[in-house]
Amino acid sequence: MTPQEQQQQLETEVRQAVRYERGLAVKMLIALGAVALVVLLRLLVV
Amino acid sequence: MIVWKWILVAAVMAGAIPLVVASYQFLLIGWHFRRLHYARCTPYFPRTAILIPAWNEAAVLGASIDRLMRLEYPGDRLRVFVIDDASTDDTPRVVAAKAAEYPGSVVHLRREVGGQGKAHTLNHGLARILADDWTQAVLIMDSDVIYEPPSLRLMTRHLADPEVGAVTAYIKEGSRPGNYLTRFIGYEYITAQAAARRSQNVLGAIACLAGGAQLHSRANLEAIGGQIDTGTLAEDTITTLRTELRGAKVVFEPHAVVWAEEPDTITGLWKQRLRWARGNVQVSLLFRRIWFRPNRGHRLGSISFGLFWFSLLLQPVLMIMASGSLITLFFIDKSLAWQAFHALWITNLLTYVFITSFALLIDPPAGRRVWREAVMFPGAISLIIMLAAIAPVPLRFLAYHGLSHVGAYGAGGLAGGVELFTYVWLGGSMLVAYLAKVAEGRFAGRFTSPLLIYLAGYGSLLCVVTFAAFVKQLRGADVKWDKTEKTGKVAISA
Repeated sequence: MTPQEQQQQLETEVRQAVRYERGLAVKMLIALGAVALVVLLRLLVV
Repeated sequence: MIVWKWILVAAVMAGAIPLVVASYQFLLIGWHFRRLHYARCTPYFPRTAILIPAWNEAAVLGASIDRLMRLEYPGDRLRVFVIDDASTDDTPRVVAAKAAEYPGSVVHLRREVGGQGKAHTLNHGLARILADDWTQAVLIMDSDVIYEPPSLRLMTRHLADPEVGAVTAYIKEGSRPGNYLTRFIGYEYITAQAAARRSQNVLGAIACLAGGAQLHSRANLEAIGGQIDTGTLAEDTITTLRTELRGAKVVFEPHAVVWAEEPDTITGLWKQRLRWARGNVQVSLLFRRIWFRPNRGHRLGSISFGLFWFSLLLQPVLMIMASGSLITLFFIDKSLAWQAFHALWITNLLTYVFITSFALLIDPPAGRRVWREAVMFPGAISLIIMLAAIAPVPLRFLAYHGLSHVGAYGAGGLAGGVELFTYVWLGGSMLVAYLAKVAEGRFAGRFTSPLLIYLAGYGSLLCVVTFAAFVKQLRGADVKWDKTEKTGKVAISA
Protein backbone atom coordinates (compact mmCIF):
# COMPACT_ATOMS: atom_id res chain seq x y z
CA MET A 1 0.00 0.00 0.00
CA THR A 2 1.27 3.47 -0.79
CA PRO A 3 1.22 6.15 1.94
CA GLN A 4 -1.66 7.85 0.12
CA GLU A 5 -3.69 4.64 0.10
CA GLN A 6 -2.93 4.12 3.79
CA GLN A 7 -4.14 7.65 4.54
CA GLN A 8 -7.32 7.02 2.55
CA GLN A 9 -7.91 3.76 4.38
CA LEU A 10 -7.48 5.51 7.72
CA GLU A 11 -9.91 8.27 6.78
CA THR A 12 -12.53 5.78 5.63
CA GLU A 13 -12.20 3.68 8.78
CA VAL A 14 -12.27 6.69 11.05
CA ARG A 15 -15.42 7.96 9.31
CA GLN A 16 -17.09 4.57 9.85
CA ALA A 17 -15.96 4.41 13.47
CA VAL A 18 -17.23 7.92 14.23
CA ARG A 19 -20.58 7.06 12.62
CA TYR A 20 -20.79 3.94 14.80
CA GLU A 21 -19.96 5.89 17.94
CA ARG A 22 -22.56 8.57 17.09
CA GLY A 23 -25.05 5.74 16.64
CA LEU A 24 -24.32 4.63 20.20
CA ALA A 25 -25.59 7.99 21.47
CA VAL A 26 -28.89 7.29 19.69
CA LYS A 27 -28.94 3.74 21.09
CA MET A 28 -28.45 5.18 24.55
CA LEU A 29 -31.59 7.27 24.04
CA ILE A 30 -33.48 4.14 22.94
CA ALA A 31 -32.39 2.37 26.14
CA LEU A 32 -33.49 5.38 28.20
CA GLY A 33 -36.81 5.16 26.32
CA ALA A 34 -37.16 1.57 27.51
CA VAL A 35 -36.72 2.79 31.09
CA ALA A 36 -39.32 5.51 30.54
CA LEU A 37 -41.71 2.86 29.20
CA VAL A 38 -41.31 0.79 32.38
CA VAL A 39 -42.01 3.86 34.53
CA LEU A 40 -45.05 4.68 32.40
CA LEU A 41 -46.40 1.13 32.71
CA ARG A 42 -45.89 1.27 36.44
CA LEU A 43 -47.88 4.52 36.64
CA LEU A 44 -50.65 3.07 34.49
CA VAL A 45 -50.88 -0.27 36.30
CA VAL A 46 -50.80 1.04 39.87
CA MET B 1 -34.56 5.38 67.14
CA ILE B 2 -35.77 7.37 64.13
CA VAL B 3 -32.18 8.27 63.21
CA TRP B 4 -31.21 4.59 63.32
CA LYS B 5 -34.13 3.69 61.10
CA TRP B 6 -33.00 6.17 58.45
CA ILE B 7 -29.43 4.97 58.72
CA LEU B 8 -30.77 1.48 58.00
CA VAL B 9 -32.77 2.80 55.03
CA ALA B 10 -29.59 4.45 53.70
CA ALA B 11 -27.73 1.16 54.14
CA VAL B 12 -30.48 -0.61 52.19
CA MET B 13 -30.25 1.90 49.35
CA ALA B 14 -26.46 1.48 49.31
CA GLY B 15 -27.23 -1.91 47.76
CA ALA B 16 -28.28 -0.05 44.60
CA ILE B 17 -25.01 1.92 44.34
CA PRO B 18 -23.20 -0.54 42.02
CA LEU B 19 -26.06 -0.53 39.50
CA VAL B 20 -26.59 3.23 39.72
CA VAL B 21 -22.86 3.82 39.16
CA ALA B 22 -22.90 1.31 36.30
CA SER B 23 -25.79 3.28 34.75
CA TYR B 24 -23.76 6.48 35.06
CA GLN B 25 -20.91 4.65 33.33
CA PHE B 26 -23.25 3.62 30.51
CA LEU B 27 -24.57 7.19 30.19
CA LEU B 28 -21.02 8.41 29.51
CA ILE B 29 -20.91 6.17 26.42
CA GLY B 30 -23.28 8.62 24.75
CA TRP B 31 -20.43 11.16 24.81
CA HIS B 32 -17.78 8.79 23.50
CA PHE B 33 -18.06 10.10 19.93
CA ARG B 34 -16.95 13.51 21.22
CA ARG B 35 -13.84 12.14 22.93
CA LEU B 36 -12.39 9.98 20.18
CA HIS B 37 -8.64 10.07 19.71
CA TYR B 38 -8.72 9.70 15.91
CA ALA B 39 -7.81 13.33 15.19
CA ARG B 40 -4.27 12.56 16.38
CA CYS B 41 -3.95 9.26 14.50
CA THR B 42 -1.95 8.70 11.33
CA PRO B 43 -1.13 5.48 9.47
CA TYR B 44 1.69 4.20 11.66
CA PHE B 45 3.40 0.81 11.55
CA PRO B 46 6.09 0.69 14.24
CA ARG B 47 8.40 -2.33 14.40
CA THR B 48 6.36 -4.40 16.80
CA ALA B 49 7.53 -7.25 19.00
CA ILE B 50 4.66 -9.52 20.00
CA LEU B 51 5.21 -11.21 23.34
CA ILE B 52 3.36 -14.46 24.06
CA PRO B 53 3.98 -15.96 27.49
CA ALA B 54 3.36 -19.69 27.21
CA TRP B 55 3.24 -22.54 29.66
CA ASN B 56 1.89 -25.75 28.16
CA GLU B 57 -0.02 -23.97 25.40
CA ALA B 58 0.52 -26.46 22.57
CA ALA B 59 -3.24 -26.71 21.99
CA VAL B 60 -3.65 -23.05 21.12
CA LEU B 61 -0.29 -21.55 20.14
CA GLY B 62 -0.12 -22.76 16.55
CA ALA B 63 -3.46 -21.22 15.56
CA SER B 64 -2.65 -17.95 17.34
CA ILE B 65 0.71 -17.60 15.55
CA ASP B 66 -0.90 -18.43 12.18
CA ARG B 67 -3.46 -15.66 12.77
CA LEU B 68 -0.73 -13.20 13.73
CA MET B 69 1.06 -13.94 10.47
CA ARG B 70 -2.14 -13.02 8.62
CA LEU B 71 -2.45 -9.61 10.27
CA GLU B 72 -2.84 -6.64 7.91
CA TYR B 73 0.59 -5.40 8.92
CA PRO B 74 3.94 -5.19 7.11
CA GLY B 75 5.58 -8.59 7.68
CA ASP B 76 9.07 -7.12 8.09
CA ARG B 77 7.83 -4.96 10.98
CA LEU B 78 6.46 -7.81 13.03
CA ARG B 79 8.25 -10.39 15.20
CA VAL B 80 6.59 -12.93 17.46
CA PHE B 81 8.47 -13.94 20.60
CA VAL B 82 7.06 -16.98 22.38
CA ILE B 83 8.40 -17.03 25.93
CA ASP B 84 8.14 -20.67 26.83
CA ASP B 85 7.95 -20.93 30.62
CA ALA B 86 9.57 -24.39 30.85
CA SER B 87 6.59 -26.08 29.22
CA THR B 88 6.37 -29.84 29.65
CA ASP B 89 3.95 -30.46 26.76
CA ASP B 90 4.43 -30.07 23.01
CA THR B 91 4.85 -26.27 23.18
CA PRO B 92 8.58 -26.26 22.20
CA ARG B 93 7.86 -28.48 19.19
CA VAL B 94 4.90 -26.32 18.06
CA VAL B 95 6.96 -23.13 18.34
CA ALA B 96 9.93 -24.73 16.54
CA ALA B 97 7.62 -25.76 13.71
CA LYS B 98 6.21 -22.24 13.44
CA ALA B 99 9.71 -20.72 13.59
CA ALA B 100 10.64 -22.93 10.62
CA GLU B 101 7.43 -22.04 8.78
CA TYR B 102 7.90 -18.28 9.32
CA PRO B 103 11.70 -17.82 9.40
CA GLY B 104 12.84 -14.64 11.11
CA SER B 105 9.30 -13.82 12.26
CA VAL B 106 8.84 -16.31 15.09
CA VAL B 107 11.38 -16.60 17.92
CA HIS B 108 11.37 -19.21 20.67
CA LEU B 109 12.64 -17.97 24.05
CA ARG B 110 12.80 -20.76 26.58
CA ARG B 111 13.06 -20.50 30.34
CA GLU B 112 14.45 -23.71 31.72
CA VAL B 113 13.14 -23.00 35.21
CA GLY B 114 9.59 -21.69 35.14
CA GLY B 115 6.35 -21.66 37.11
CA GLN B 116 6.86 -18.24 38.72
CA GLY B 117 3.89 -16.69 36.94
CA LYS B 118 3.07 -14.62 33.88
CA ALA B 119 4.86 -11.44 34.98
CA HIS B 120 8.21 -13.24 35.44
CA THR B 121 7.76 -14.91 32.06
CA LEU B 122 7.04 -11.57 30.37
CA ASN B 123 10.05 -9.96 32.01
CA HIS B 124 12.27 -12.69 30.55
CA GLY B 125 11.03 -11.69 27.09
CA LEU B 126 11.13 -7.95 27.72
CA ALA B 127 14.78 -8.11 28.82
CA ARG B 128 15.60 -9.72 25.48
CA ILE B 129 13.59 -7.48 23.16
CA LEU B 130 14.49 -4.19 24.84
CA ALA B 131 18.16 -5.11 24.65
CA ASP B 132 18.35 -4.15 20.97
CA ASP B 133 16.86 -1.14 19.21
CA TRP B 134 14.78 -3.01 16.61
CA THR B 135 11.62 -2.84 18.75
CA GLN B 136 9.54 0.34 18.60
CA ALA B 137 6.37 -1.09 20.12
CA VAL B 138 5.51 -4.17 22.19
CA LEU B 139 2.27 -6.10 22.00
CA ILE B 140 1.66 -8.33 25.02
CA MET B 141 -0.94 -11.01 24.42
CA ASP B 142 -2.13 -14.41 25.66
CA SER B 143 -1.47 -17.59 23.73
CA ASP B 144 -5.16 -18.33 23.07
CA VAL B 145 -6.07 -14.88 21.75
CA ILE B 146 -7.01 -14.58 18.10
CA TYR B 147 -6.49 -11.17 16.49
CA GLU B 148 -8.80 -10.06 13.69
CA PRO B 149 -6.69 -9.06 10.66
CA PRO B 150 -7.01 -5.25 10.95
CA SER B 151 -6.81 -5.16 14.77
CA LEU B 152 -3.11 -4.42 15.24
CA ARG B 153 -2.94 -1.58 12.69
CA LEU B 154 -6.08 -0.07 14.25
CA MET B 155 -4.19 -0.05 17.55
CA THR B 156 -0.77 1.15 16.37
CA ARG B 157 -2.20 4.24 14.66
CA HIS B 158 -2.89 5.70 18.15
CA LEU B 159 0.83 5.40 18.97
CA ALA B 160 1.50 7.99 16.27
CA ASP B 161 0.55 10.43 19.02
CA PRO B 162 3.61 10.60 21.30
CA GLU B 163 1.35 11.38 24.27
CA VAL B 164 -0.13 7.88 24.04
CA GLY B 165 1.75 5.28 26.06
CA ALA B 166 -0.46 2.25 25.53
CA VAL B 167 -3.49 0.99 23.60
CA THR B 168 -5.86 -1.85 24.28
CA ALA B 169 -8.45 -3.66 22.14
CA TYR B 170 -11.96 -5.05 22.55
CA ILE B 171 -11.64 -8.61 23.87
CA LYS B 172 -14.60 -10.84 23.01
CA GLU B 173 -15.44 -14.32 24.21
CA GLY B 174 -14.79 -16.64 21.28
CA SER B 175 -15.37 -20.26 22.42
CA ARG B 176 -17.55 -22.16 20.02
CA PRO B 177 -19.95 -23.87 20.43
CA GLY B 178 -19.55 -22.72 24.03
CA ASN B 179 -22.02 -23.30 26.83
CA TYR B 180 -24.21 -21.31 29.22
CA LEU B 181 -21.18 -20.03 31.15
CA THR B 182 -19.24 -18.79 28.12
CA ARG B 183 -22.40 -17.02 26.94
CA PHE B 184 -22.68 -15.31 30.33
CA ILE B 185 -19.04 -14.28 29.97
CA GLY B 186 -19.80 -13.12 26.41
CA TYR B 187 -22.43 -10.76 27.79
CA GLU B 188 -20.22 -9.71 30.69
CA TYR B 189 -17.53 -8.71 28.17
CA ILE B 190 -19.95 -6.45 26.31
CA THR B 191 -20.55 -4.59 29.57
CA ALA B 192 -17.01 -4.77 30.98
CA GLN B 193 -15.08 -4.24 27.73
CA ALA B 194 -17.18 -2.61 24.99
CA ALA B 195 -19.18 -0.44 27.39
CA ALA B 196 -17.01 0.23 30.44
CA ARG B 197 -13.83 0.90 28.45
CA ARG B 198 -15.65 3.42 26.24
CA SER B 199 -16.80 5.33 29.30
CA GLN B 200 -13.26 5.17 30.67
CA ASN B 201 -12.07 6.69 27.37
CA VAL B 202 -14.52 9.53 28.04
CA LEU B 203 -13.10 9.99 31.54
CA GLY B 204 -9.52 9.76 30.27
CA ALA B 205 -8.67 6.98 32.74
CA ILE B 206 -8.53 3.33 31.73
CA ALA B 207 -8.73 0.82 34.58
CA CYS B 208 -6.85 -1.99 32.88
CA LEU B 209 -5.17 -2.83 29.61
CA ALA B 210 -6.61 -6.24 28.79
CA GLY B 211 -3.96 -8.87 29.48
CA GLY B 212 -4.53 -10.41 26.04
CA ALA B 213 -4.20 -7.16 24.10
CA GLN B 214 -1.88 -4.53 25.47
CA LEU B 215 0.17 -2.52 23.04
CA HIS B 216 2.91 -0.30 24.48
CA SER B 217 5.23 2.16 22.88
CA ARG B 218 8.83 1.31 23.66
CA ALA B 219 9.20 4.70 25.34
CA ASN B 220 6.34 3.87 27.70
CA LEU B 221 7.71 0.50 28.71
CA GLU B 222 11.13 2.01 29.37
CA ALA B 223 9.58 4.89 31.33
CA ILE B 224 7.83 2.47 33.70
CA GLY B 225 11.04 0.57 34.28
CA GLY B 226 11.10 -1.87 31.35
CA GLN B 227 9.63 -4.55 33.59
CA ILE B 228 6.23 -5.88 34.57
CA ASP B 229 5.28 -5.89 38.26
CA THR B 230 5.80 -9.30 39.85
CA GLY B 231 4.56 -8.55 43.35
CA THR B 232 0.81 -8.83 42.75
CA LEU B 233 -1.70 -10.89 40.78
CA ALA B 234 -2.77 -7.86 38.70
CA GLU B 235 0.34 -7.15 36.66
CA ASP B 236 -1.69 -5.74 33.73
CA THR B 237 -3.60 -3.27 35.95
CA ILE B 238 -0.38 -2.13 37.61
CA THR B 239 1.22 -1.53 34.20
CA THR B 240 -1.85 0.45 33.14
CA LEU B 241 -1.98 2.64 36.23
CA ARG B 242 1.78 3.29 36.16
CA THR B 243 1.49 4.37 32.53
CA GLU B 244 -1.28 6.83 33.41
CA LEU B 245 0.42 8.05 36.57
CA ARG B 246 3.44 9.14 34.55
CA GLY B 247 1.08 11.31 32.50
CA ALA B 248 0.85 9.15 29.36
CA LYS B 249 -2.50 8.43 27.74
CA VAL B 250 -4.01 4.97 27.55
CA VAL B 251 -6.52 4.46 24.74
CA PHE B 252 -9.17 1.79 24.28
CA GLU B 253 -9.76 1.10 20.56
CA PRO B 254 -13.23 -0.49 20.41
CA HIS B 255 -12.99 -1.41 16.73
CA ALA B 256 -9.85 -3.50 17.16
CA VAL B 257 -11.39 -6.85 18.03
CA VAL B 258 -9.62 -9.86 19.48
CA TRP B 259 -11.15 -13.16 20.55
CA ALA B 260 -10.28 -15.15 23.65
CA GLU B 261 -11.15 -18.51 25.08
CA GLU B 262 -12.78 -18.21 28.48
CA PRO B 263 -13.50 -20.89 31.12
CA ASP B 264 -16.51 -23.11 30.49
CA THR B 265 -16.72 -24.44 34.06
CA ILE B 266 -17.44 -22.58 37.27
CA THR B 267 -14.31 -24.12 38.79
CA GLY B 268 -12.17 -22.68 35.98
CA LEU B 269 -13.93 -19.32 36.14
CA TRP B 270 -13.57 -19.25 39.93
CA LYS B 271 -9.81 -19.79 39.67
CA GLN B 272 -9.43 -17.03 37.06
CA ARG B 273 -11.68 -14.49 38.75
CA LEU B 274 -10.30 -15.11 42.21
CA ARG B 275 -6.89 -14.19 40.79
CA TRP B 276 -8.34 -11.04 39.18
CA ALA B 277 -10.34 -10.02 42.26
CA ARG B 278 -7.44 -10.61 44.62
CA GLY B 279 -5.24 -8.62 42.25
CA ASN B 280 -7.74 -5.75 42.36
CA VAL B 281 -7.76 -5.79 46.16
CA GLN B 282 -3.95 -5.62 46.07
CA VAL B 283 -4.05 -2.75 43.55
CA SER B 284 -6.58 -0.84 45.69
CA LEU B 285 -4.21 -1.01 48.63
CA LEU B 286 -1.05 -0.38 46.63
CA PHE B 287 -2.45 2.77 44.99
CA ARG B 288 -4.37 3.95 48.06
CA ARG B 289 -2.96 7.45 47.74
CA ILE B 290 -4.54 8.13 44.33
CA TRP B 291 -8.23 7.30 44.91
CA PHE B 292 -10.65 10.23 45.05
CA ARG B 293 -7.79 12.74 44.87
CA PRO B 294 -8.17 14.73 41.65
CA ASN B 295 -4.79 15.46 40.09
CA ARG B 296 -3.75 17.58 37.11
CA GLY B 297 -1.28 14.98 35.87
CA HIS B 298 -3.75 12.12 35.46
CA ARG B 299 -7.47 11.28 35.76
CA LEU B 300 -7.17 8.24 38.03
CA GLY B 301 -7.97 10.36 41.07
CA SER B 302 -11.26 11.66 39.69
CA ILE B 303 -14.39 11.04 41.73
CA SER B 304 -16.03 9.24 38.80
CA PHE B 305 -13.15 6.82 38.32
CA GLY B 306 -13.02 6.12 42.06
CA LEU B 307 -16.75 5.37 42.02
CA PHE B 308 -16.34 3.00 39.05
CA TRP B 309 -13.50 1.16 40.76
CA PHE B 310 -14.90 0.82 44.26
CA SER B 311 -18.58 0.24 43.44
CA LEU B 312 -17.53 -2.94 41.65
CA LEU B 313 -14.97 -3.99 44.22
CA LEU B 314 -17.30 -3.41 47.18
CA GLN B 315 -20.44 -4.80 45.53
CA PRO B 316 -20.58 -7.98 47.68
CA VAL B 317 -20.20 -5.94 50.86
CA LEU B 318 -22.94 -3.53 49.77
CA MET B 319 -25.28 -6.41 48.91
CA ILE B 320 -24.79 -8.08 52.28
CA MET B 321 -25.20 -4.73 54.04
CA ALA B 322 -28.46 -4.00 52.17
CA SER B 323 -29.89 -7.41 53.02
CA GLY B 324 -28.85 -7.19 56.67
CA SER B 325 -30.37 -3.73 57.02
CA LEU B 326 -33.64 -4.85 55.41
CA ILE B 327 -33.91 -7.78 57.81
CA THR B 328 -33.22 -5.51 60.81
CA LEU B 329 -35.85 -3.05 59.58
CA PHE B 330 -38.31 -5.93 59.11
CA PHE B 331 -38.18 -6.63 62.83
CA ILE B 332 -38.35 -3.00 64.03
CA ASP B 333 -40.56 -1.29 61.42
CA LYS B 334 -42.22 -3.53 58.86
CA SER B 335 -43.83 -0.69 56.94
CA LEU B 336 -40.54 1.18 56.50
CA ALA B 337 -38.79 -2.07 55.53
CA TRP B 338 -41.42 -2.63 52.83
CA GLN B 339 -40.94 0.90 51.45
CA ALA B 340 -37.14 0.62 51.49
CA PHE B 341 -37.38 -2.76 49.76
CA HIS B 342 -39.55 -1.23 47.03
CA ALA B 343 -37.24 1.73 46.53
CA LEU B 344 -34.20 -0.57 46.30
CA TRP B 345 -35.65 -3.07 43.86
CA ILE B 346 -37.40 -0.51 41.66
CA THR B 347 -34.04 1.27 41.34
CA ASN B 348 -32.44 -2.08 40.53
CA LEU B 349 -35.09 -2.80 37.89
CA LEU B 350 -34.77 0.56 36.14
CA THR B 351 -30.97 0.35 36.02
CA TYR B 352 -31.20 -3.27 34.86
CA VAL B 353 -33.53 -2.32 31.99
CA PHE B 354 -31.24 0.52 30.93
CA ILE B 355 -27.97 -1.40 31.16
CA THR B 356 -29.26 -4.60 29.55
CA SER B 357 -31.06 -2.98 26.63
CA PHE B 358 -28.16 -0.60 25.92
CA ALA B 359 -25.50 -3.32 26.24
CA LEU B 360 -27.29 -5.52 23.70
CA LEU B 361 -27.38 -2.59 21.28
CA ILE B 362 -23.70 -1.72 21.72
CA ASP B 363 -22.56 -4.95 20.07
CA PRO B 364 -25.55 -6.39 18.18
CA PRO B 365 -23.82 -9.55 16.79
CA ALA B 366 -22.64 -10.56 20.27
CA GLY B 367 -25.96 -9.44 21.68
CA ARG B 368 -27.89 -11.80 19.40
CA ARG B 369 -25.82 -14.71 20.70
CA VAL B 370 -26.07 -13.92 24.40
CA TRP B 371 -29.38 -12.09 24.86
CA ARG B 372 -30.88 -14.87 27.01
CA GLU B 373 -27.94 -14.71 29.41
CA ALA B 374 -28.20 -10.90 29.37
CA VAL B 375 -31.81 -11.13 30.52
CA MET B 376 -30.94 -13.78 33.11
CA PHE B 377 -27.80 -11.99 34.36
CA PRO B 378 -29.40 -11.03 37.73
CA GLY B 379 -31.00 -14.49 38.03
CA ALA B 380 -34.62 -15.65 37.83
CA ILE B 381 -35.41 -14.97 41.48
CA SER B 382 -34.13 -11.40 41.35
CA LEU B 383 -36.17 -10.87 38.17
CA ILE B 384 -39.32 -12.04 39.97
CA ILE B 385 -38.55 -9.78 42.94
CA MET B 386 -38.03 -6.82 40.61
CA LEU B 387 -41.38 -7.52 38.95
CA ALA B 388 -43.01 -7.86 42.36
CA ALA B 389 -41.55 -4.52 43.40
CA ILE B 390 -42.70 -2.65 40.31
CA ALA B 391 -46.04 -4.39 39.78
CA PRO B 392 -47.14 -5.92 43.10
CA VAL B 393 -50.84 -6.08 42.27
CA PRO B 394 -50.70 -8.38 39.21
CA LEU B 395 -48.10 -10.57 40.89
CA ARG B 396 -50.17 -10.84 44.07
CA PHE B 397 -53.11 -11.84 41.86
CA LEU B 398 -51.03 -14.60 40.23
CA ALA B 399 -49.70 -15.74 43.61
CA TYR B 400 -53.22 -15.88 45.01
CA HIS B 401 -54.47 -18.11 42.20
CA GLY B 402 -51.32 -20.23 42.12
CA LEU B 403 -51.20 -20.85 45.86
CA SER B 404 -54.98 -21.30 46.18
CA HIS B 405 -54.73 -24.00 43.52
CA VAL B 406 -52.37 -26.01 45.72
CA GLY B 407 -54.24 -25.01 48.89
CA ALA B 408 -51.33 -23.03 50.34
CA TYR B 409 -52.75 -19.52 50.21
CA GLY B 410 -53.32 -18.10 53.67
CA ALA B 411 -51.09 -20.71 55.30
CA GLY B 412 -49.77 -19.35 58.58
CA GLY B 413 -46.65 -17.24 58.23
CA LEU B 414 -46.30 -17.88 54.50
CA ALA B 415 -46.66 -14.22 53.50
CA GLY B 416 -44.19 -13.12 56.19
CA GLY B 417 -41.80 -15.87 55.16
CA VAL B 418 -41.93 -14.82 51.51
CA GLU B 419 -41.37 -11.19 52.50
CA LEU B 420 -38.36 -12.09 54.65
CA PHE B 421 -36.98 -14.29 51.86
CA THR B 422 -37.06 -11.38 49.40
CA TYR B 423 -35.20 -9.23 51.93
CA VAL B 424 -32.53 -11.86 52.45
CA TRP B 425 -32.16 -12.58 48.75
CA LEU B 426 -29.81 -9.76 47.70
CA GLY B 427 -27.10 -11.15 49.95
CA GLY B 428 -28.38 -14.73 49.97
CA SER B 429 -28.11 -15.04 46.18
CA MET B 430 -24.34 -15.15 46.61
CA LEU B 431 -24.67 -18.22 48.79
CA VAL B 432 -26.76 -19.95 46.12
CA ALA B 433 -24.18 -18.98 43.48
CA TYR B 434 -21.50 -20.51 45.69
CA LEU B 435 -23.57 -23.70 45.92
CA ALA B 436 -23.47 -23.83 42.11
CA LYS B 437 -19.69 -24.04 42.36
CA VAL B 438 -19.88 -26.72 45.04
CA ALA B 439 -22.42 -28.72 43.01
CA GLU B 440 -20.29 -28.71 39.86
CA GLY B 441 -18.50 -31.98 39.38
CA ARG B 442 -20.73 -33.81 41.86
CA PHE B 443 -23.75 -35.98 41.27
CA ALA B 444 -26.09 -34.31 38.74
CA GLY B 445 -23.89 -31.20 38.92
CA ARG B 446 -24.08 -30.90 35.16
CA PHE B 447 -27.73 -29.93 35.58
CA THR B 448 -27.94 -28.46 39.07
CA SER B 449 -24.98 -26.13 38.65
CA PRO B 450 -26.34 -24.19 35.63
CA LEU B 451 -29.80 -24.27 37.20
CA LEU B 452 -28.49 -22.61 40.36
CA ILE B 453 -26.66 -19.96 38.30
CA TYR B 454 -29.81 -19.15 36.30
CA LEU B 455 -31.68 -18.88 39.62
CA ALA B 456 -29.11 -16.88 41.58
CA GLY B 457 -27.61 -14.93 38.69
CA TYR B 458 -24.17 -14.77 37.11
CA GLY B 459 -23.70 -11.37 38.77
CA SER B 460 -24.02 -13.02 42.18
CA LEU B 461 -21.40 -15.57 41.17
CA LEU B 462 -18.94 -12.76 40.36
CA CYS B 463 -19.79 -11.10 43.69
CA VAL B 464 -19.13 -14.22 45.70
CA VAL B 465 -15.75 -14.62 43.98
CA THR B 466 -14.85 -11.05 44.98
CA PHE B 467 -16.00 -11.82 48.52
CA ALA B 468 -13.76 -14.91 48.55
CA ALA B 469 -10.86 -12.69 47.40
CA PHE B 470 -11.44 -10.37 50.39
CA VAL B 471 -11.42 -13.36 52.73
CA LYS B 472 -8.20 -14.71 51.19
CA GLN B 473 -6.53 -11.31 51.42
CA LEU B 474 -7.59 -10.85 55.06
CA ARG B 475 -6.28 -14.31 55.91
CA GLY B 476 -3.03 -13.48 54.17
CA ALA B 477 -3.32 -16.56 51.97
CA ASP B 478 -0.43 -17.36 49.62
CA VAL B 479 -0.31 -15.30 46.43
CA LYS B 480 0.11 -17.87 43.69
CA TRP B 481 -0.47 -17.80 39.98
CA ASP B 482 -3.23 -20.26 39.03
CA LYS B 483 -3.13 -20.47 35.26
CA THR B 484 -6.38 -20.70 33.31
CA GLU B 485 -6.34 -23.75 31.04
CA LYS B 486 -6.81 -23.11 27.32
CA THR B 487 -7.83 -25.86 24.97
CA GLY B 488 -8.22 -24.16 21.60
CA LYS B 489 -11.98 -23.64 21.45
CA VAL B 490 -11.87 -20.22 19.84
CA ALA B 491 -13.52 -20.64 16.47
CA ILE B 492 -14.28 -17.40 14.71
CA SER B 493 -14.37 -16.48 11.09
CA ALA B 494 -12.05 -13.47 11.40
